[in-house]
Amino acid sequence: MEDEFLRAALRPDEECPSLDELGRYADGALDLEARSAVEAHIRGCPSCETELALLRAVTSTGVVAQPTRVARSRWFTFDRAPAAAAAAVLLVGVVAAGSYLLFVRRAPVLPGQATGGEVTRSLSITIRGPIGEQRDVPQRFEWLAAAGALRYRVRLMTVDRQELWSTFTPTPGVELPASVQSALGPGRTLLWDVSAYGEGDALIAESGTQTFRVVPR
Amino acid sequence: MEAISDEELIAECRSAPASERSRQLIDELFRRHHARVVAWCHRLTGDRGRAPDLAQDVFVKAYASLHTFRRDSKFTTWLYVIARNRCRDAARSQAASRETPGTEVADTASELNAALAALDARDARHVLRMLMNEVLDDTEKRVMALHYGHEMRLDAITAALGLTNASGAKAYIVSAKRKLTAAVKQWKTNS
Repeated sequence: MEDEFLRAALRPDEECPSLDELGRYADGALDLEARSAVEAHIRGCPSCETELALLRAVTSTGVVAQPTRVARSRWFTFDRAPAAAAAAVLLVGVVAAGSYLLFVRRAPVLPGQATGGEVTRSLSITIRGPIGEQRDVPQRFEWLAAAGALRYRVRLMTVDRQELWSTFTPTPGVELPASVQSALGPGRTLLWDVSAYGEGDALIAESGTQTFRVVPR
Repeated sequence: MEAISDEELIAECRSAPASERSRQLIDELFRRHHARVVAWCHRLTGDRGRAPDLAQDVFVKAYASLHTFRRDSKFTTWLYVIARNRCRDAARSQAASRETPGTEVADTASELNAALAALDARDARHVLRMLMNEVLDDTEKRVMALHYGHEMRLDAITAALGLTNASGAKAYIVSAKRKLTAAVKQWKTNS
C-alpha cells in the first residue's frame, strides 16, 4: 500500500507514553524519573513530539480563559476537603452525568441560571491563523466571528509587545497590507491578538496573544 | 465574592456530592469551558459543523469520569485529553467510511516508498525518524506525524496547526516527502 512505510514509521507504538501522561508531562505533574523518561522518548519520536506540540498549541492559543466568578461557599476551603468524601466521588460522577444529560445536553449554552453566586463572563475569540511556524509570510489574519461583535481590533506586535500595526475591521479576518507583510521577515517571532467590540463599543471578547514565525528557508 | 479555580471547584463538588450546590458547580464548571471545547473540536477535526456535537460527547465523558481527575495537573489539560481522544475516534471512523488518509497526496509517495522499500521494516522506522529530525522543519515534521502517525485529515491538520498558506498541510507533505526521498537516497549511498 502507498505510504505504508510512513504510517508504520510514524504510528505511536507501545513505547510511546499515553496522551494522559503527555498531558501530565506538559503540566509538570510527573516526578523527575518519569519526566526524564518522557523527555528522552520525545526527542526521538516525531509522533509524541507532535502530540505534545498539538496539546500545547490547542490548549494555550485556541481561546482565552473565560473569567468566571463563582461565590465560594462559607464553609469550604481546600484544606478541609474531607478525605472521607473520596468514597463518594464515584457517586458525584454518576449524579453529575445524570444531571448533565438531563439539564445540559439539551442546552449546550445554558441561560444564566442561578449558580449559588454571581457569575460574570466574557466571550472568547477562536483564532484560525496564523499560529506557530509558517512556511510563507501570512497574508491574512483570520478568526471565528464572536457573537454580538460589531467590529474587531487586530494588533500585530513584537515579542516585547511593541505594536507594529493595528487596524479595525467589521469582519472576522483582515488582509495584511504589503508594507506589513514585508516586515514579517523569516525567523522573526511575532505576536498578534484580536479584541471584539459590541454595542456601545464595549469590549466583549478577546483572543489572547497568538504567536507565529515564518520559517527561514 | 471570590473567583474559584476549576480545580478548587471540583474539590468542592467532591466534598459535597449529590447536593444541589454540587450540581450547580459542575454545571458552572462545564459552562466555563463549553466554548473552549467546541473550539478545540473544530481545530482537531477541521469540521466546524460537527464540533458542537463532539463537544457534547466530551462533556458527557468528562462528567462520567470526573472522579478520575487528579489535582496534580490542570483541569483544562485533562479535558483536552478527552477531547483529543474523542476527535481522534471520530476522525478514524470517518476515514474508515471514506478514504485512507494518504490518498490525497499518493502521487508524491511512490518515490519515497521505493527508496524505503529496500530497508526492512525496523530499519525503515528508525531511519525515517532519524532523517525526519535531520532534514524537516518543525511544521513539516508535525504535519507528517499527524497525517501518517495519527491519521488526521489534511484539512484538520491545517486547522489544528493554524496553517495559512494557500494549500495548507498538503504543501508541507509534498515538501517533506521531497526532502525525505533525497535524504533516504543519500543515507543509502553512504551506508
